[in-house]
Amino acid sequence: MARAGIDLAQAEEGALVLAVKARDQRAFAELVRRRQGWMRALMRRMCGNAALADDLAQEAFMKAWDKIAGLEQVAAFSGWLRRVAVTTYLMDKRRSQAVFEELDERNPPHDEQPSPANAAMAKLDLERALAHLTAPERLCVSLNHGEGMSHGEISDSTGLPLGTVKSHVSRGTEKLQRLMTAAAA
Amino acid sequence: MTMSEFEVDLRNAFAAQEAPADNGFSRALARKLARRESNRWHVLAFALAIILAAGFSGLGMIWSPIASALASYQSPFVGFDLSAAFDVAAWSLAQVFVSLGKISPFVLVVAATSAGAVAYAAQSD
Repeated sequence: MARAGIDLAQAEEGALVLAVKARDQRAFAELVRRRQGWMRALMRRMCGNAALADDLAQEAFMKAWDKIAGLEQVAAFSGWLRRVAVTTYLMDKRRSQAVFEELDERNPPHDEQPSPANAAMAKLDLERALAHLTAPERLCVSLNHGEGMSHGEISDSTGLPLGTVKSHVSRGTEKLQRLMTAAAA
Repeated sequence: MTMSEFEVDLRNAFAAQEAPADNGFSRALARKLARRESNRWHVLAFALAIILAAGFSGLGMIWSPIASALASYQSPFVGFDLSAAFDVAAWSLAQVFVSLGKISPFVLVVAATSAGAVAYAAQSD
C-alpha cells in the first residue's frame, strides 16, 4: 500500500484528503474504506432502506471525488462529507418528490400516533422505530441526535427553515419516545 | 422518563448502532471510479480529436487558396522564392505572438502543421 512518501493504510485522514485533492484514486479508495461504515449508516438512518442507502452512499462518494477540489480546509473534511451526504439524499428525494410534498407547509405532515400494534412491532430497535417517522422527521432526528448537528446546522445543510427543523426534531423525538417506551413496557 | 433523559438514551442508541460491514462496498466503488475516470479520458480524447479535425479542415479552407496563389506566383526576383519568404515572415510573427503570450505554443504547432500539410497537398495537386 506504500505510495511515494505516504503509507495509505497508516496515513492520517488529513494526508489522505490532500492526496485525494491531488486526484490520487488509491488514497480515495482508502478514504472510502475508512468512511463507508459511517456513510452507509447515516444514509440508512435518513432513508430507512438499506439497498437505497448503499446506492446513495456510492453516489455521495462519487460526488465527493468530483467536488473535493473545492474543499479549502482539510480539517473540515468530516463536516463537508456529511453535507455532501445530506445533499445527495435530498437530491434523491427531490427526484422522487416524496419528501417535498410532505415538507410543504400547506400540507403539514400528519401526526402519526403510534397505535399499540405499531408500538409492539417497533420493538426496542431504533432502526425500526425510525421507520415510523415521516421522512423529514427521520432526517432531522438522525442529524440532530445521530450526528450531533445543531438545529441551525441542519437548517443550513437541508435548506429547511429553522422553525421547521425544530418542529421536526421535537415531533420526531416525541414519537420515538412514545414508540420505544410503549415497546419496552 | 423525562424528555431530556430520553434524548440522552437516544443519542447513546444512535452511537451504539453498528456500522454496516464493508462486504466489498469499497472495492466496488474503487472499480466504478476507475472505470468512470478511464471513460472520461476516452471522451476527452475523442472530443479533442474532433476539435483538431475541425480545426485542420477550417484552416485548410482558409489556407488552401493562399497556398495555391503562392504556388502559382512567379517571383520577379530570379532565384528568390517569395512563398518561402512569406512562410519565414509568418513564422517569425507567430513567434513574437507566442513570446508575448498572445498565442499558445500548442495552437501555433497545430496551425503550422495543418498549414504545412495543406500547402503540401496543394502543391502536390
